[in-house]
Amino acid sequence: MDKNNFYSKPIHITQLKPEFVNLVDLEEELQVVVIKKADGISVIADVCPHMGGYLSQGKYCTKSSTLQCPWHGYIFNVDTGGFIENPNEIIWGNLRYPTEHFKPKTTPKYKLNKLEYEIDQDKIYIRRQSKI
Amino acid sequence: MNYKFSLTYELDAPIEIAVAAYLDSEHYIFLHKDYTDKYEVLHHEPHSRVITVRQTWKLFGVSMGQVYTCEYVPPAQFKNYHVKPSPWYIPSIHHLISVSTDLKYLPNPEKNTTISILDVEVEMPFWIYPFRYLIQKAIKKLKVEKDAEDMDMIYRREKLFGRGNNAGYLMEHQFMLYKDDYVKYYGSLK
Repeated sequence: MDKNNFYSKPIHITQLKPEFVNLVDLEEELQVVVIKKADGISVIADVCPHMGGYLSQGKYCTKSSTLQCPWHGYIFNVDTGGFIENPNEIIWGNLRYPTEHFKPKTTPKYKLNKLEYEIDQDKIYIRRQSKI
Repeated sequence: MNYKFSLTYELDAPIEIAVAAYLDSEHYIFLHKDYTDKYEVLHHEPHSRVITVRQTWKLFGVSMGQVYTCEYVPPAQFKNYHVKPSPWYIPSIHHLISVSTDLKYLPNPEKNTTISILDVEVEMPFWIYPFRYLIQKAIKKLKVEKDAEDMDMIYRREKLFGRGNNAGYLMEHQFMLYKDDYVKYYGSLK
């Protein structure tokens, strides 16, 4: 493993609470959410792709493996990073008619920023990205 | 009896961002979850700027709320009035007083900030009048706390995307109240 390609600060696996939204500061202005499950670990930048909310303050559902942003309630799949649901489509349903500048049938292409990593003994090293 | 007061202060955000945060209704029950857990649009006329909503919250495990009318006056004025308790059978301050608010945002070009002016009018029976300052204090506290939550969001977005960047609100799939009006006034500032 070429350590130049990875953030220098590792994440200690033993310090992660399982099935929990762990917030880890990797320094270098990068905070990540780490979710340790029985079948793997997900490392996600702590920025909601919708409006920039703190995913670390979101709700994690173990059963569906989803994370809900605390700002607007958008729900994402932790395993794939894909956008699943915007609950506001129901809440504000009767006002969501098409207008000149609002196209409700347009599907947003939001995706969680999942970071690649390598495990070395009990430490997780996060691969650097060009831009997060 | 009638009691009026105003709250005026400066929001450290360009007006296009302050207005976007107000019209961005998708955050009402998530970011402001401590104050509201449910919003329902009870009535609206298509393409009008007036809606009737029911806003609900829980107090000691009991669900309670209020029904009121919201009116948007472009580009940056927001009125709330006809506030009624909901459900009517749960005791509420709104059985005793009637509150109307008129919020105006004005640009402060020198500092690229927003002046927020909230005019509040409270109708109350004479025996509540001695407590008018307590009512004023409660309304002010609620306004300041919710503005602080909005400012936390605004500062975070400013750090990520730059000051005054409202591009996220302008995307065609992004819902906000009265979006066409918003785009008309603030859609091409960048």
